[in-house]
Amino acid sequence: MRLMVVAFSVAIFSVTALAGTVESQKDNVEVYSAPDKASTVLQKLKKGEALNSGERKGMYWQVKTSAGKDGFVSVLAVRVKTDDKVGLADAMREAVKKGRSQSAADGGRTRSSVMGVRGLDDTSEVGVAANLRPNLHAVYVLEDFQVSDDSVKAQGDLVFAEIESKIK
Amino acid sequence: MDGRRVNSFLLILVLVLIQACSFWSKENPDAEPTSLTQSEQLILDDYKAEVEVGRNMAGRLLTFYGEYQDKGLKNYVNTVGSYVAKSGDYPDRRYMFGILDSDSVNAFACPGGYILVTRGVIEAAANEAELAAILGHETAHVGKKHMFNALRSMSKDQVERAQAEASARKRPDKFSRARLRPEPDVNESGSALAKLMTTASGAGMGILQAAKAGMSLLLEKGLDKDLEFEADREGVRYAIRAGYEPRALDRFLERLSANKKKNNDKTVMDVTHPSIPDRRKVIADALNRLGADQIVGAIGKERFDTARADLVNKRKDSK
Repeated sequence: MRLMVVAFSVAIFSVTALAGTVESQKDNVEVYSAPDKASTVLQKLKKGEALNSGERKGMYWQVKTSAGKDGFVSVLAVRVKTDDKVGLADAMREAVKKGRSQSAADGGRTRSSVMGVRGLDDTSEVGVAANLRPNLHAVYVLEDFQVSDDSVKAQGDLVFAEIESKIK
Repeated sequence: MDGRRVNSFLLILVLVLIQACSFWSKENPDAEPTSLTQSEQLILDDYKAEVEVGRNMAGRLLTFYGEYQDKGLKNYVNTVGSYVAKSGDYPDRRYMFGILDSDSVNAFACPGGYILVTRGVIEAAANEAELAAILGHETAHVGKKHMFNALRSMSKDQVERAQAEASARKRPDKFSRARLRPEPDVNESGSALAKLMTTASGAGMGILQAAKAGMSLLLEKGLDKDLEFEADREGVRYAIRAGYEPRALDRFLERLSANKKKNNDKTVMDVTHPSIPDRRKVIADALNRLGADQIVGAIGKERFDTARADLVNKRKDSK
């Protein structure tokens, strides 16, 4: 019975832990049986091939191989894949824009930016912030300010280039 | 009119109506995308209510502190924040980052993905890895809907009390009277959205009520400390997944604690967050579990210093 509970817990953990996807950055990326390059190679990935991933274990991602086995792949050989739910992200972006007339009715007219108050003891003064008129114009500027997916990807490339240079 | 003419007229009428419907569905800007699954549609409906509350809260913070104007720095914070968020558990959500013009070291996560960090945070951080971990903490609050769920779990009395407390704080001596305007009544479409904000007691909460109660949590009462610990653990995890140095958040808090002791200052963060020693213990446990000792991570010192160069120079000039 105890064994069954343990097995069930492991099964639940495997399903919930493997929530992301990683994508191979080159051909012949090896998937190991343990977080160690000396361990058995379970699979070799082609460039662009994706696997379900779990947590980081040191310098490895825990992954599920195409055959359904638990494996590990070097974090330097793959990148987290992030475009799985583009439809929902787009819908959220649209929802943000469409709701503006509602916010203006509920919280205040669109106004030019109001200068902030500096040099206050914010533990005693900040409570009043809840009672100020929201600066929706500044919020809309935030909403419209969006970095491109390419910039975000380039940021990842810079981060991993730094790690690679450290390891070398 | 004979039978054939009537039939022809009806046929034309039906065709015109079909065409009109098809035209409307193509052109109506409010039409929802139809490719969403049922569960995604539910997430989207919830998100609309989140945005209304979060937008109102973020707007109040921006009125109070003002926004720090540095487009390059804002772009950098948005790039680092979006990158960390994409490496987290909720990459499909929307995150919008802004910089508040305040010396105080704090960051705020409002429902809907509005994340505001103070200028003080950017001055106090030593490198990109520390900024990434701080933004990771805030994106975890957003992704896990900590604030939104806290508001929905409030009883009607708690909401009314929080709103009343916020409304009672009028300080025209330090703030221009022009900025303290009467709140408008919630209109009908606002009431429709408010139905999504059902509290623990089953009552619907208005967007304004929710925003004011949220401000009370954000600035005075704080979220449940377990939610803050969770955001610390998750923020560190997201930053590690993104490739950053694992101990960055711990180092930032360690330095913050040392500065506080030296200057004997107290900030909003002290009131709304668990103590720094308790947070560092939670982070140490998380790092242990993630095998942080074996992780080589990026620091991004040069990128960070370049991005905040104007801010640092302005501060030097003002001293």
